[in-house]
Amino acid sequence: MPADTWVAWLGDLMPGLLLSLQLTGVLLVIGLPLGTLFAVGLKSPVRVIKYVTVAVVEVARGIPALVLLYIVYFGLPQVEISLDAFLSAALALGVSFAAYSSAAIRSGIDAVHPGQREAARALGLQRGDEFFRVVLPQAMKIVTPPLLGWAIIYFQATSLAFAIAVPELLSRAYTLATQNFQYFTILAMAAVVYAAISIPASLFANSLAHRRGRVGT
Amino acid sequence: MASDDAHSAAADAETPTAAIRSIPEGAQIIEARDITVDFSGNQVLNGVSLAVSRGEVIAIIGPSGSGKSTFLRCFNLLQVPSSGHLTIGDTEVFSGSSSNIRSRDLLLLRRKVGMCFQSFNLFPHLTALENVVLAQVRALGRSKSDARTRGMQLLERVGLRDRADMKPAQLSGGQQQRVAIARALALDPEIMLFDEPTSALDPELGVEVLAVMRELADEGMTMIIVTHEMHFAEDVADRVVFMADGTIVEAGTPAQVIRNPVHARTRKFLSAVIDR
Amino acid sequence: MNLLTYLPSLASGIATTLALTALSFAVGAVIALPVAMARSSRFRGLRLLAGGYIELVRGIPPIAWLFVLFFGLNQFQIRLNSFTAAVIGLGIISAGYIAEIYRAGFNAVPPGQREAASALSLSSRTTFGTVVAPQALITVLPLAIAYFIGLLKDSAVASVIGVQDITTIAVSLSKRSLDSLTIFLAAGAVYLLISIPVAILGSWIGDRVAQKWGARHAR
Repeated sequence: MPADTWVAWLGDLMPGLLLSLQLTGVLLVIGLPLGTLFAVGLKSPVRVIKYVTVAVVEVARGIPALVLLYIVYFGLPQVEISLDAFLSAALALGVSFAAYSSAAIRSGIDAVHPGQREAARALGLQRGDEFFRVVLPQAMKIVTPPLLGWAIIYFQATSLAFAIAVPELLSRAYTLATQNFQYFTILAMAAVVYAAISIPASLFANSLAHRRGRVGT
Repeated sequence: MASDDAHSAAADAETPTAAIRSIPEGAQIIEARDITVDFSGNQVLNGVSLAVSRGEVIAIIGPSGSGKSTFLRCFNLLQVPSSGHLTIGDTEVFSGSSSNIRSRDLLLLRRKVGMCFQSFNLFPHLTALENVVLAQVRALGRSKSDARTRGMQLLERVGLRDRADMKPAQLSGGQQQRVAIARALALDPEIMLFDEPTSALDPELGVEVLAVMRELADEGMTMIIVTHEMHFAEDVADRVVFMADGTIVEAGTPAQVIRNPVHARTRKFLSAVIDR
Repeated sequence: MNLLTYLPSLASGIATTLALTALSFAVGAVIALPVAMARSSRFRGLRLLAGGYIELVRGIPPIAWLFVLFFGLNQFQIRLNSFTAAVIGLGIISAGYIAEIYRAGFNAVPPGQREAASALSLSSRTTFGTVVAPQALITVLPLAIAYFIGLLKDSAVASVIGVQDITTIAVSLSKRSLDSLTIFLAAGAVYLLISIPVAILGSWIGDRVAQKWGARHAR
């Protein structure tokens, strides 16, 4: 098999990779704020809020991501919410990401030195400012390594969008493979592309964790 | 024929295996000579030597980092010296570097030289009796019932017969250490090593352990003890060895080393310890 | 919106889902042993090999593995049925994660335990079997159970290559009906429901082992 065929195929997969990365980006845009919301809810002194949050998080964690995808893409139209495949995937995976990362974000918030909150109050900052400008930025710095870990996991999870016909990396590989009958080569190539992004990214996340000292996930 | 047997017996007597298996009756029972230990460039022991006679009790004292625990571990080769010699009776069983001892001889050595640790290291998932029985069955090949009988004898000897079926988590520190002593004695060693046996214990609990050790010494066991307990060292030890920075600074009788130290370093250490 | 109407049909997929999960886990647990040993080996080559395997397994999405095994091997005339492909694929992935769990378990046993066993002249085989492994299990079991529950959910990807599990049944039900939302919510509920008894059983097993072999180690 001539090398330039492989290169050609690889080139053909690139738009798929781009879409996978875009999908990851959008699901993080949805999932990070939502995860923070969950984290705050988990810490709430108001019992109702706390228990409802726990329930939502447990349900979102307990349902397989693929099923969540189907719920959003096939199910929501039933209640007049029709999202295209890309957005459905982003929403479903974003919610799943939020549920799983909420524990880590919560640890991060807890890990911010209580002295910070005291200082903020002593300076007369309001609760909102105290949270958004003092606590949260520091929490996010602490939690970056585990969050990056989750992001990598969800980048891989975008491959599930195959099931709802999003033309991401795996879908493109599959289509290409059916055209060429080179199933193994092309699918393996796609797998290697996932690895080529995931592995260095997680090594980077590990080095961040070592440099900062670890926070429990 | 008889001369053949005598000949082979004589040849046998010179092998490390035979020497360990039955330590000859002579006065010297074990000797570590010119021991150096290197941890990746860091020299922890610097040519240390110690010869021990049968029945002797030796206390090794010194500041942390002096290498005392490392040196102690050379006697049962839990620590393999970078260079040096280990002699049992009058036969050298280890010399030079790592691969110079057969694993079978190593196991034999550890049956003759027992050890107790600062952190007791009892097996937490086994009861006191099971702890004492395990090595008898697996290492010595005793039958389970013989091992249990001997185990109960030893637990009785350390005063813990009624705790035989308890797990370590249910025992106090002092009780755990006494079980550890019984466990080590179960292999019928001829030499016992103690690595700071009471350092992890409250003074009240340490007393019961020291009492057991004192009895052991009175019964004639050869013991090498790394310890901070100066009173115990003074009362029980035949010889005291002071180590610092990887060497032996001073050695002699307790009266000499503890009461009339010669070296400044020894005096500095002792004044810090005794005058606390 | 009555979830309950669909539960019986979905329930027929439970056996397949559980079987798939259990078999994949078993395959993974077995393969993970040599991988974990290689990972802690004295030989750098073995360590790197095992490390590389674990990284590869964690760097490629499960669905991609299944595609390679189910569609890809076809190219070499190896035709696996979807269930087998799923078991092998999920098994290979599980081995990577379970190997790390084994390592965590062994590292959690205090080094003093091995020292004491050596000082008692116990052979390395005896030390491993009677001293190290039981104590490692205390750490390994809760982690393994958590992983099993995760695997239960990951098994849903097998539906994409045709395994007749809960998700596949939900998909075919929804194609024949307009009630997709309820059907898939019901499917989600089934996954939630089956993970509860597994979690409880696992927690009970974990407690029993901790009690039997459990440790408050000396300082």
